[in-house]
Amino acid sequence: MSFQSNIPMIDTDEQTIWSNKYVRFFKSTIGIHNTIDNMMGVLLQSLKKLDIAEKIYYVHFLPSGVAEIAYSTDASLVGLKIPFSKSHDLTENTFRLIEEDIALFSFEKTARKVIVQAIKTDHTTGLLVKVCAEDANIHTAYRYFSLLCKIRFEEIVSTYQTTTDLTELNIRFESILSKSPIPIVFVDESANGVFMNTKAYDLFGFSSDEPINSQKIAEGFSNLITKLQNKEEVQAKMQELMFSNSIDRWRWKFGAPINRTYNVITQLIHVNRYTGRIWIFEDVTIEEQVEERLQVINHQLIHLAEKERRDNVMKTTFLANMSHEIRTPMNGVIGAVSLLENTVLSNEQFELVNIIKKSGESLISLINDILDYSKIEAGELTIQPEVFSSVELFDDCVDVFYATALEKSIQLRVMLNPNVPVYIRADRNRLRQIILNFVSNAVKFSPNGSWVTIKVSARNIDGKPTLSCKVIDQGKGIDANEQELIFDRFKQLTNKHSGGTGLGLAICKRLTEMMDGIIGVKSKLHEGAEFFFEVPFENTDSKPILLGDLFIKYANTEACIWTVDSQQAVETFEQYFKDKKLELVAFGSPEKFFESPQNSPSMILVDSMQVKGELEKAIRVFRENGVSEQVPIVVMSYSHEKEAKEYARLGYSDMMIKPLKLKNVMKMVEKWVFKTVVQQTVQKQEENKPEKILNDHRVLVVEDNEFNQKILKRILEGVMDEFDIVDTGEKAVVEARKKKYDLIFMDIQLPGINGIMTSKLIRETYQDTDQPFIIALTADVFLKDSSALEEAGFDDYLPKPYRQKEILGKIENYLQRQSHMVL
Amino acid sequence: MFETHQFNTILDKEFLLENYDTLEYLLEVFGDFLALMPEEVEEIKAAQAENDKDKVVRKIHAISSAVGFVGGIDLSDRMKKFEVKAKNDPDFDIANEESQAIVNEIDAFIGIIQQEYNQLS
Repeated sequence: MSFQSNIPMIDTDEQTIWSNKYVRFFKSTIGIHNTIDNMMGVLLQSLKKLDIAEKIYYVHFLPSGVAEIAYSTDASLVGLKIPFSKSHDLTENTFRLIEEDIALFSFEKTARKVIVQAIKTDHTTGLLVKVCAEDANIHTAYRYFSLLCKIRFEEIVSTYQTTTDLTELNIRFESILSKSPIPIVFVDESANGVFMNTKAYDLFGFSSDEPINSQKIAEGFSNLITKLQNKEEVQAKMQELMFSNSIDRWRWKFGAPINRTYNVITQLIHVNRYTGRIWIFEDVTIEEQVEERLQVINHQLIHLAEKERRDNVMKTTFLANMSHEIRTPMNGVIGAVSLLENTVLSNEQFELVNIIKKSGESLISLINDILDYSKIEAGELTIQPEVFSSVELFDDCVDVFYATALEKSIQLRVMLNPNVPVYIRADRNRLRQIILNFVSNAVKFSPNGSWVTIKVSARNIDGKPTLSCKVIDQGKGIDANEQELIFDRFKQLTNKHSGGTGLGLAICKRLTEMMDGIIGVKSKLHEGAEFFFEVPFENTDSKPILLGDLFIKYANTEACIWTVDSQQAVETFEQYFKDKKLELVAFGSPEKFFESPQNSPSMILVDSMQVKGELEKAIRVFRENGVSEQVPIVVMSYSHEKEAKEYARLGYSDMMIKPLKLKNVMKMVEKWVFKTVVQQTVQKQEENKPEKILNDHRVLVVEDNEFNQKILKRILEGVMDEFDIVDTGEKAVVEARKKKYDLIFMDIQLPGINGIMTSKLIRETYQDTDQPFIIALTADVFLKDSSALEEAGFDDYLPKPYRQKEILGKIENYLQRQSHMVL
Repeated sequence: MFETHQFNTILDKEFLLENYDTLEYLLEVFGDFLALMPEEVEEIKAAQAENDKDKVVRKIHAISSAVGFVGGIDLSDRMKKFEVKAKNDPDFDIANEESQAIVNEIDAFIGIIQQEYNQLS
């Protein structure tokens, strides 16, 4: 170890002197000083006696950061400000000597030596400042003394602060507990420390000035327990305290005169070596009363719910049994009608049979309404999406009500926007249920001779394709107040003769919600009503075929159709003829066509209702005005009308059964404008193979499965020498461009473009008058029993696996018939 | 002719008699079936292993009519129902037991056609 030369050596005596001085300082500062002023006084005065300093003061920092002399051996200095702040580096010094010429810290006129020492405790920072004479000897021994004193200073300040803090904490704690509305008792293990707040005094029945000790509290507890209503229960639980430190839910029930219930919480407190138990008496009288009341209500509710559930089960069982009883004979009726449908029927008979069947199905569907609502309420009804034809859905719904509507001379029309996909995937049955309900109401509330319009379109909502349907009537309208209630169950409009369960619209609402759709009504009194729903659906293809696409093949056909019909009826279809060379000209009477120049007609449609039954006169007007006998005139009539039965006698070429449907209009256009045969429903069953008389015809088979190709090849070889087989839609289109085919068997599910699209492309390839017959071959169960393929441009359909005789039957039906057809 | 032949009851004899008027014709059809189908079934199994639902459904659809053409009308119907179910249920697991079962059934069906072919030959 080495010392610097400029540091004077301190002799051992000097060190002993300063050590002894520190011992004296230590001794003089022992003892309890109950105020900060006393403590500081003792510290500064003791130090002054031993130190070389002329005066000593203690500086503290005010909240503003200003340094102020708080205590001093020179009383005149107290309150003076010192020219440095808390952030000054002096607060980091354990010992700093400043030799000042001006009286910054000494407050003297002559030069002084000033010693600044930072005093730091957990709670405070201050400065101990000593002012010494200019020639004072600040040697190392003195420095040690001064540093030791500083540490002692800090120790005492810190101790004092802790004591002060504890005292303050104790005061706060006791004042809070005393004022607490909850009785609290504390007893420590030694039973010396006991505490009871005011409420506990009251509970234990002690007077407020009565001194308490552990024995007194024990007696208080015994006394309390004797007053308990649930004494045994409490005492039994008391045993648990032997094994458990705490009990959370411990009800002490007092009868009169206390009449309170307490939830007693007790906890053993164990901190270091100190152990005690706290007792808290939480008054839960009101809570318990509410709880008891709630329990009673709960029991009553459970009882009621159980009763209602049993009643509902009984009701549901009854309804299920009843609907079964009604449905069984109805199924018999429908079954018989289905058999009738498969016999040889005229167009009119077929339509009537179809209507009986669909109305029967609708009746069953209505019977199911009631059952449905019960199921919806019970959460048992689920949405079951399937692929179906949109046109068929709406046509079916119109068929169900057309007869009812006609009784009031109400006409139904479906206006399908060309943007609606031919096939959609959604819950067909539930949509049908909603549409039927709307149409039923519209027919019911519309006046005689009015129109009920079903407007259908598709649009995208939040990126999802959505089917939008409006059923518009011309009834008396619905008051705004009633509109809000109309979808509530059992609510019906004020018309007492409306009939029904009052569940219909409520079911519709629930079904729409289940399909993530919306439902509503727009109406003004005396202006009719528009019931609408919007339900999301899925497309069956990334580029679905739209209804408008089905008319593309007519786009370049220069022809004109005249129609004698009302504006309402024409509106239904005219949108499909827009922007096409195939023209639709409509007037309300035959005479109107000749009042201005018109393109010559290829076909004339006459609505029997529009000409008020004077069909003979209408046809005479056309013929007398130069319309050739070769131009077909088609009468549009309801099947029951006598004109429908006598159309041929009246000179009409054909008849179209009303209500008008898009597919029927298309059929007539195909048949009379394009002169192609429209397939009848009835198939002639031929057992014998046709002879090979079909060599003048060309047949194309589009089938990707090799095995299926072989099967069809063997069948065709028996009746014709020339036919082609290709395995993709693309090849089929190429072949169709090279050769003119009369008949095409088309598989629907093909690699690449599917059968539907292939057929569409082939149809575009051919002239309108040269269109081939296209028969779909598919194992797709969705397309079974559906007219969807027909709407997509197919002439017929055979399910796989087909029988040999079915293929031969189709060939004969189409090709041999075509051979005999006079074009 | 094969009117007197005792076909396995899983086959629709009436359909076979109605469609194929000679034994030679029927044998030819069975022969073609046996030549083409095992490979198709192997492709279905591979697609199942790769969890390629679209391919499995497409293949099942493609061979359902072939199964029907050799008299497996019931199995053909069940294959169609399976196809519909798998197509319509986005969560349908193509490697599930039902899917395995239908493929095993097709496998077994090919075995039955093989037996019939042998007996008729």
